[in-house]
Amino acid sequence: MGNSIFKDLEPNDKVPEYLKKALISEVDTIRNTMQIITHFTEHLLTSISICLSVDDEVKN
Amino acid sequence: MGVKTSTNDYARHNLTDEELVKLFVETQDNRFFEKLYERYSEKVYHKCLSFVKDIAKAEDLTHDIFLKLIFKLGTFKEDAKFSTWLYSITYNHCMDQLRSNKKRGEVLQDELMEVPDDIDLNNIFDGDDIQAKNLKIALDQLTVDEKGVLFMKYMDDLSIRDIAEIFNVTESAIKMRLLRSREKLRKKYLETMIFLGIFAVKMIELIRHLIQ
Repeated sequence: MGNSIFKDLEPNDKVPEYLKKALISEVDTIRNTMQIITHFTEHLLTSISICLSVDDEVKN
Repeated sequence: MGVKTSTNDYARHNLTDEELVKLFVETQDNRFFEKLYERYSEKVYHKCLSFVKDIAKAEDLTHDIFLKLIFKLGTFKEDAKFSTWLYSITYNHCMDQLRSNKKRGEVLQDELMEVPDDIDLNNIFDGDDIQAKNLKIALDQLTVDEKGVLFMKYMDDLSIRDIAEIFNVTESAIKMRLLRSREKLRKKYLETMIFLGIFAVKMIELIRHLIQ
């Protein structure tokens, strides 16, 4: 009793379609950026470790 | 139905929300997230609109809630109910954004009291002769926390236990919060009715005076 009127207060507007597209594209951008950062970091660390091992070899 | 369903089969099967979450976390395939979005975007958007009454702000809030959801999907517990979990993110985000600078200490003091067992919290009003327009005016005079707890209980039909989990407080604290918010809404509704009644009488008097 009395609760139905409260439920009727909920708006019934449609979610704009562009909101979904914007969200998916943002998710893709974040995911791609994360991949680039991961690849860059991996390669950087690999390069540093190679440089260090070359230095060691030269010294020996 | 097993969650190991092939990603190509997902459209044929009516996967549950929890299965879609698991598949999205495992595959990072946007289609699973899109399916969840299709199921809940209206509900989340409506909830945001109920809080902010502004389309642009509601869109921003909805966008932020789903973005937050994506980052949190990995932490979703399989035994939990997805819709309740999403409601908790939605309500907490909306209320965090709108909450005034008021300290919550004064509220917590009241929550130390117990709600008597004979008080029925299942109905917001005793009768059905409530006017939606006046109810909206009365609701706008409540704080974001008061509105939040009333929306959860009387609009989304969440249980006291679910609401307590969302607010991260005890069930008795939620009962007290509900009782207090409901009483305040009833009071504000009555005030609105009286105000509009007096206003109408004054307007009639003015019109009569102008005619004579």
